[in-house]
Amino acid sequence: MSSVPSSSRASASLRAGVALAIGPVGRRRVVGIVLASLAMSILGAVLMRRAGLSGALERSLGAVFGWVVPLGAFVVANATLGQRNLRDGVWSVARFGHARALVGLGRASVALALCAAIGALAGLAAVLAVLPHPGVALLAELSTVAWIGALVGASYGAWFAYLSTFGRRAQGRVVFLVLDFVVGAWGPFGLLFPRGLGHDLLALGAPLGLPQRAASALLALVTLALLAALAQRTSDARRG
Amino acid sequence: MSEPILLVEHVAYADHAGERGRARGSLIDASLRHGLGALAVLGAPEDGSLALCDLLSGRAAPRRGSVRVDGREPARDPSLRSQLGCLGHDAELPRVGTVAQLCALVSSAWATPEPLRASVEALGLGNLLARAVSSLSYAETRSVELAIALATPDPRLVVLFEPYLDVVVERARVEAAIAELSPRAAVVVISASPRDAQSFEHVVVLDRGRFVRSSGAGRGELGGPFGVQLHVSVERGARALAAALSESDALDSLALELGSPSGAEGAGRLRLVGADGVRLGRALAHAVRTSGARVEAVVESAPQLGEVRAMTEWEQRRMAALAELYRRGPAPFVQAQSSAPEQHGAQARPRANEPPSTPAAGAEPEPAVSSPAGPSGEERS
Repeated sequence: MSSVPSSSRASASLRAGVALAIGPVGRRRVVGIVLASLAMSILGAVLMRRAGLSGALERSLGAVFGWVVPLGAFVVANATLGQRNLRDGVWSVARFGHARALVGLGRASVALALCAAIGALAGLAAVLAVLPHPGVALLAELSTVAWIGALVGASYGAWFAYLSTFGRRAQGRVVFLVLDFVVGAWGPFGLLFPRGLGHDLLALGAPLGLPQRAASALLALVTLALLAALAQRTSDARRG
Repeated sequence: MSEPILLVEHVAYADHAGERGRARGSLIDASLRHGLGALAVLGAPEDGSLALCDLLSGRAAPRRGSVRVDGREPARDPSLRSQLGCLGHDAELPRVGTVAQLCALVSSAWATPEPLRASVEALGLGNLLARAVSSLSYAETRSVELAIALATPDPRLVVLFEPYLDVVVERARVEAAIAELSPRAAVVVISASPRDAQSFEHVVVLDRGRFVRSSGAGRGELGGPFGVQLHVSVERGARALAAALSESDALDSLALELGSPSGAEGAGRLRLVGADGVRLGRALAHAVRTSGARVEAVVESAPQLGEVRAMTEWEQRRMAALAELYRRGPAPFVQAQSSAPEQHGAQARPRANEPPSTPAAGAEPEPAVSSPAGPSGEERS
């Protein structure tokens, strides 16, 4: 009987986490969430365009990154990360010998990927629905909005995943959603919250006026730090 | 005694199985050692059986004390958990597609992947392999969980919570699988049913968060002074049989319930309690002959959990009294030895009240949880 090397067991643990996230959600539900986000983005963009062409793109992006992306990410996080504390939520797989932290990371990665996809697609949909005048370089606009959307979405995913390790019913996610709405784009808090940094990246009333490169680096850094913190909080070594 | 595989030392932990995560039971300074072989832990959730299951499976680490399997902590060591089979108390399987896909996922965590599908089929669950995990009933989920637990490769510890309850696997198959595992691993069966516990050679009683007693599985040992209890189903002449039995001195108590589901005349059920099973059986046979009653079935009942608890309480009081007497010296010991059973008097009859093994004067009180051949637990102070 062959023995399985530890590296392949680690990747098996990550895959198990991915399977655990995708399993209960189902493709239909994921497609439904993404489509709903797109529909909301398009609806918002159309309404903003009707209100006047001038500044319609900024307003519609403001609505998308202010409402659609956070709410879409929250719904996705609820679906993929489950309704209870993530440390407890990975137990059903970890009990068979998978490392809790790796299963948690695998599960969180699905949430991150879907949130990033929602961010990018919702941003793209908003730009296309507004259809800025011919003077604007549409492709450049689309690519910029897409990567910013993906980064902001992933950041929301990381926050929701990390905060799923707080509260028996992962109430940390709700607390974060509320805080993000209330203080996310307010002064120095914007440095931490994806709302503030996203606004900064899109030049939608930047809270701190950070250069785009610094804001995107900070956003990526916060996202990675959150994943590291999540691994620590779900680790087997931690007394839970 | 074999080298201990499982070592539970002075553990304190409360489960979260109640409503809104409240505790249903907890362990308080619980200690237990167990080597190779099967051991039944007899206790209800309020005694801490769910908490024990959580700790042994590695789901949680104890708040105080330590749980070690082969010197490692299940809650902190994933590689140990891959050698740890567990049928938990909450039927929790990951919803990752079909049962066959689940088997693949589980095997991927094992150092030496076993043909898990074959094990599932061996328990007669082959028809579930194509089913989605989310479509399984509670009993089916538990059965798949049981099959996985029993198939764990190179197992060190297998923890089975109520393995005969709410499963769609025949009891005989589960018993055979446990018997097959016993020489290779420490098997801990947690149950609230004395009848289920009786099928194991060693039983440890978990009472209010502590392992308080280790005993053999016989009724006399588990249920102690409450004697043997027979349930007699009578097809005809139940009243006459009861009358005949009432004259026998082999009985400590008799209860008659007239009537049967079929509504047959003279049918009924009798419950007989006596200190000596052989005398009780003879008395019943004699009464059946003399009364002309027609008996359908006679079943010896296992002691109820309440009886086991009462026996435990009685033993604890006896030990406390002995310890106290031991402390005072030999003179009052003789006097108090005769009065010790009276502490229990309201519930027990004089004959049935005889302690199973009264230590000789001056002898060391025996430890509460110990067994010469396998499990042993903490000594009662």
